[in-house]
Amino acid sequence: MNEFEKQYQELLDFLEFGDFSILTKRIIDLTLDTENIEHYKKTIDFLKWLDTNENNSEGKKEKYQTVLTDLHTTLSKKPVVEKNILVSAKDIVKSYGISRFSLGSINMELKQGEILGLVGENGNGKTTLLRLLCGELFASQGNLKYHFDYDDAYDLRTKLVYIPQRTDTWYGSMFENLQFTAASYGYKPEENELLVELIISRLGLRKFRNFEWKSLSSGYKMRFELARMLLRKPKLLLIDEPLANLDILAQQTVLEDFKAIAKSPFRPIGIVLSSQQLYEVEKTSDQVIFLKNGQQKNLHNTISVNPEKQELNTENFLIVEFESSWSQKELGELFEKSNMISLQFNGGTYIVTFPESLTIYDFMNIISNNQVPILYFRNISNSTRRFFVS
Amino acid sequence: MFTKIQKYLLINHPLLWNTKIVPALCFAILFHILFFVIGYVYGNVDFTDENYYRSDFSTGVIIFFSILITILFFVVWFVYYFRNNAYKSLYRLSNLYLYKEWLIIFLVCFLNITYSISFLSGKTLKERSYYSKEEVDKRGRTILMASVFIDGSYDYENVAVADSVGKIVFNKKKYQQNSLMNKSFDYYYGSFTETNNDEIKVKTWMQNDNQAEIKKLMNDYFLLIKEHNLKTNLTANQWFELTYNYPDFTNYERIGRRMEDVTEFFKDNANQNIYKHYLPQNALISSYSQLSKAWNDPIIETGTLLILLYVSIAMAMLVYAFKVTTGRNWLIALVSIGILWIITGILAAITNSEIVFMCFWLSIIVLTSIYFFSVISNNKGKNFSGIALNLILWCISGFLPLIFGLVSEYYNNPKSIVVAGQIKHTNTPQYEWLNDNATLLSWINILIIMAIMYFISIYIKKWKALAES
Repeated sequence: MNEFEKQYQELLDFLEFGDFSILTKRIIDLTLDTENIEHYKKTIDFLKWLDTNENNSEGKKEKYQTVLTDLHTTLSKKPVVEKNILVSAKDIVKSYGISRFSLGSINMELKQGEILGLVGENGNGKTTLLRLLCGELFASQGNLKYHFDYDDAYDLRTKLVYIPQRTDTWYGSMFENLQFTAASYGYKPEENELLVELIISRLGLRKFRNFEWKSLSSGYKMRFELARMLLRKPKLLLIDEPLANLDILAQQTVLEDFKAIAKSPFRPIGIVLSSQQLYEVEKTSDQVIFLKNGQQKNLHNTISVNPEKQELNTENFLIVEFESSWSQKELGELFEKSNMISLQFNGGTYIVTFPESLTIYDFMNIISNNQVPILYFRNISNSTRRFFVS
Repeated sequence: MFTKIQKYLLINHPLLWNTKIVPALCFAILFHILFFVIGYVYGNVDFTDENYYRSDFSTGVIIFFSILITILFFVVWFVYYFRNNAYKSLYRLSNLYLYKEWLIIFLVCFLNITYSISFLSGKTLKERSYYSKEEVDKRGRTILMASVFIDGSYDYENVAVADSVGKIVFNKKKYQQNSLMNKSFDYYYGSFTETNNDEIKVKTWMQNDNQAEIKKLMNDYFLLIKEHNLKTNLTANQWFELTYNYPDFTNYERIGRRMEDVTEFFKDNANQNIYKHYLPQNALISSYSQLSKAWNDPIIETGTLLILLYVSIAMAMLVYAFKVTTGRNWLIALVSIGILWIITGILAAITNSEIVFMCFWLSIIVLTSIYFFSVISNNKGKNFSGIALNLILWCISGFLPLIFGLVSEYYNNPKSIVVAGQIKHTNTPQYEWLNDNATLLSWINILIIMAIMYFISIYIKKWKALAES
């Protein structure tokens, strides 16, 4: 079963459980994957039908099934793209001069369909790394290589779409702006409007098509940037703090969108995103790079970081974050018995570190057996959260 | 309809949509037609008007309004044009894209600064529509030939020659200085070539007492008066009787050139009215001067066209530079160029040399170009190349003229030689050639700018891909 068939099976599950909202989005994704005007037209007709038949649940299910089958017939004949390496960085350093901030060295590798999360506190080099990867800055040292075809430096940069945290203002109607992008990228006149229509529907922007930029919330501005990005057919999307200023629901939706966009079986792209939302990013990303003072620490990394630069190899320790009404002394005395390595009080929460011989179940047993009052706990052994703990 | 066209352009020709070429062209065409019509109405010749040059004030007002409309147009156009920038957004562009954009900006600039040309063309065409060139010449000659019998100045140097006792000699015959044989011709713009022959012709008729020709001339003059409904208190016969006094032509009545000459009672030394009769000579001279000018001048002067083309190029460069760099770079470049002008002014004042001025600006163009292209080839960040690019774009039009200027100065070697007793100023053939062909060189320069912009546009695209820092 190839990647497409797996994803298609997921869609059938959504249909079975009546999860129409996400199913609609994924149907648009598949429609875009077809790159076929007839399918664009059919899906737009389907969306119009949905607008007037919101409560027709039986008819809806049938209609969804028909559209899905139709798309499956077309896409099952299309070859699934092999996931190649897009970009690799070897010991890249960006230095702003002596005694000023320096980023790196950074080692990374990103394939098509992968999402790389950049986390770290403010001022630690996340934006610098994104700007390096998109060609807006040049590396002082090291080797940055893009593993896809491009004619010249300008052509390369058209394939690396960088969305900064503060995006430029769009002037005029949003729809026209997107049509202009589509036309600039050579989409045929007959598919231009259909395509833009589908993309704004995919990102939930239909009712904002004629809005002014200033009247949009930052979340919707981000979505319009994503819509534009989709029209630009990039190889790599680099996006700075996409979750900033979004409520938790919007964050999850945006991340889900990133996942769907990146992992298209037919048009996969690489995404590098920076964020302060550790857990959300970790859930979505295939790799996470933690940056502290410009230095790289990887989670789930496939590229090994220079071991000499690791302060302490805590790779296999059990690290748990929790909140309790007990004092540090009480907790310390309790965990000492289980060979606790450290216990830190970190802004209302405790971080306890145990040797690798302990598991999360042992921690739960300790808590349960001693009836320790606890509000929540999270195993952060495999989270970049542990890098924030000194 | 506009919306439909714009929508079509948006999805078929995004550059044309972005530059708002259709609304800009429609606006320009509409105002060109409007100014042409105003010019055409304004070209109405008032044959009773005695001084049409007074109307140049109104022409100035209309040209002022054309400039005002141009400014208003550009403000609105900029607002819409700068809304989208495919180049700054790093959209996929062909190598020709930026060049086409520059050409469009140039076209829009040219069309919107040339309203005055449409106005003047309309005016000239209306003036030409009255009579053919031959007819205007014929009538003009009648007016000028008849001027011998209307009050005016006396000529001592033209066709008659004064002898040693102060008498006037014409065809070997002597006349008094106050003789009509010594009366000078009226003239107007464009009439000079034929005037001398006509003057000799009329005065020969007078000398030979060819009354039939003189009467015919006066009758022709009166036909013009009648055709244009002009006022006079004479008839052709009376005019002949009062002024024609063969053989000496000294006993004649002075005929006024306008009604006011009679009504305002110009007195002579004996407190007598100088003028009792008048002819509308001033009005005829004025109106036929206007018609003659319309036929003798080209509809569009080459010099004016060249100036407007260079102004359009300069404007296009300013707009284009703003579009392809940043507002910050553009402003810094503007300040830099101001400072460079001050330095040039000081240098020119100290050295009192045009060569220093030319060498200075040529060096700036060459050095900024070297810097700009070295930044592109080094690929290590843009640094100050955005400012350099602005300077290159603004100064490139002057590159060849500066070289021509320097070459011209190099060959400038003026000499004064005596040829047949007269001092003649000469220079080297190369200098003379450059001087004589300045207009041709200006045209060639425009073509070269067009070609250079094609290559610069390709490099501007390469430059955009460079890292910022």
